[in-house]
Amino acid sequence: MKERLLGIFTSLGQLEEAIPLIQQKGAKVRTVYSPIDCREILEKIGVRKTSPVRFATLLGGLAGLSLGVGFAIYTFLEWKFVTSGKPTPPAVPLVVVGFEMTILFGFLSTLLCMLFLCGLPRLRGSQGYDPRFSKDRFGLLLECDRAQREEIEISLEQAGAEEVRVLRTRRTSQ
Amino acid sequence: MKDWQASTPKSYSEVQEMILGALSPPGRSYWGAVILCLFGLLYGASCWAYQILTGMGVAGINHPVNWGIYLVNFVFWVGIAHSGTLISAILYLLRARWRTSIARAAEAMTVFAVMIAGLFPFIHLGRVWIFYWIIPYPNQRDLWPNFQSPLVFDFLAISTYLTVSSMFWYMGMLPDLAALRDQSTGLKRRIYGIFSLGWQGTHIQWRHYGTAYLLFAAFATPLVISVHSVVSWDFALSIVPGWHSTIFAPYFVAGAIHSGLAMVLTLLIPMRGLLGLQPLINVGTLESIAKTMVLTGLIVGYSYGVEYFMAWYSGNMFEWDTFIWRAFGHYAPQFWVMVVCNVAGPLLFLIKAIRTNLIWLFAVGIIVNIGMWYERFVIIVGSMSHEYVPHAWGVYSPSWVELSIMLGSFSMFLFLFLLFCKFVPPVSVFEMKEHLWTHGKA
Repeated sequence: MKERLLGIFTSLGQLEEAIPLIQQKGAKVRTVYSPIDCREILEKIGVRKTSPVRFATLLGGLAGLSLGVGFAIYTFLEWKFVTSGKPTPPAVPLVVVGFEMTILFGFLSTLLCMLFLCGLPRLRGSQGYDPRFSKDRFGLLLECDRAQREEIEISLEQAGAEEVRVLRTRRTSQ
Repeated sequence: MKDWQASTPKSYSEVQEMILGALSPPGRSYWGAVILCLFGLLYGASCWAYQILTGMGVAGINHPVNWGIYLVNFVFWVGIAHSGTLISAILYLLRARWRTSIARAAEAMTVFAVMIAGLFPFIHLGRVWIFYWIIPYPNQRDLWPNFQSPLVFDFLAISTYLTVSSMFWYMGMLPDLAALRDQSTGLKRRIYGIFSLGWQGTHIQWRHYGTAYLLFAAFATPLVISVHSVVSWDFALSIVPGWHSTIFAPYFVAGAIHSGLAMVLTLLIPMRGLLGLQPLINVGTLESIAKTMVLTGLIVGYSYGVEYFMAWYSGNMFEWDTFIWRAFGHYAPQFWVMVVCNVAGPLLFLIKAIRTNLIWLFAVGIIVNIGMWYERFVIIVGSMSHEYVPHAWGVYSPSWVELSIMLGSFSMFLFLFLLFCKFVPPVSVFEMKEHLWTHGKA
């Protein structure tokens, strides 16, 4: 049987201190809640700082460039509209179209990918979330064996947790 | 002046309470201002409706000046829209800390200004109901927009800029909207809950959000440069004397940043006082804007000088005659207002006592706004009224309809900004908290 515990801290420093303590005792960090973007936490819990959202940016940008330039060339060839004796399709104006479409599609693909990876929009709140996490408190949601629960609770309190909550029990296949 | 310095927030909760406290129910004077602006907006809209029903003859534009103050306002508002993204995106990439307290309001300014700028080509178009002809869509006549036209460049650039700047602004607010949701009740909580998209501030969300925000800033930076360059090519790609110049793109970009910074000063100085945000938007921040304006003012002044030098050195008699006429012809008063306001005005900021004085900062902000509006007037109207053939020369005065629509645009801008001040956090709460964290105060 697994237990889920939520430790609520008043400062980021306390939370950072608590993470290695509870990891040593075999608990797994599930989620860290924070009112600010602190990259050091990611390192502590072994998550890479960089996000795969960058690949969506690259793909979106390339798609925008191809679509913008390709569409402009198609319309030039379709319409055969000669302006100022310039060749059809002209090269220079395509730079502007390609540039703007690269930006637009790159931006939108980044946005959509970011929302997808963040699980947004989220219609229902999660069990561990506390409204104070958007103000001035930090939350550490972790999972441990039932037998270890008391020991972990004590560790959290020793690290400076203001409050420790036991959340719903989750059954495992083992 | 020193009282608010003592009340500088020192904890996350103090920061949040100060910023979100600014959203407390406003008084009668606020609603009075909102209603006044709404009235101005409706008046402008009704004048546009009158123009549509009556025809473009009610506007003062006619041969040889076919681009009047509708296009002047278009360029002016696009320019105003620039500094929001400059402050938010470019200074974010440069890690300039002073941007934090003013970026949100500057971004809001950008979004509203682009919205208004985007209206003016439609107003100028006359037959606004066929605006969709510029959108590339399959049609029976096999006609497509001409992608060589700077007007199509404009459509692409402005619509991209509006999309990107709106989303950049909105995404920057997500964590703050969640904070607002969590401290609200009832209907407010539901509304802010919807707009915060269920943000919870988990480490996974922050991880992807942080990277994405950096990429948004990286996209917005070249975009902001490109948009006003494209606007400048509306003019530079023609052969009208005074317009056909390779300096136009950087000249317009510098002017846009100059006017945008001036508008930031004009809006933020009253805003910080009315909302009690002096500890966050302090004089040091405003001083940084003033210092930047000295630089942009000098670039603008240099551009004015280079235009004259090129007109003289090229030996092109039409170009030179146009520039002489600008300085001493019918529009000379507007030209000299432009020079004095845009170049001499910001130089006052070289004096520390002036750039740290709120009244002076506000006054110079207004002066530069006036000067930048006249710059667009001088470029657009001044060149068209004095082209190549003397018997085709003529002067232009805006009609009451054009002036009313312009009044409506300023009313709309202030109306939207007033609503922004009271319905969304005017300063980024989470970035101010991060500021405290990095300085070890929290």
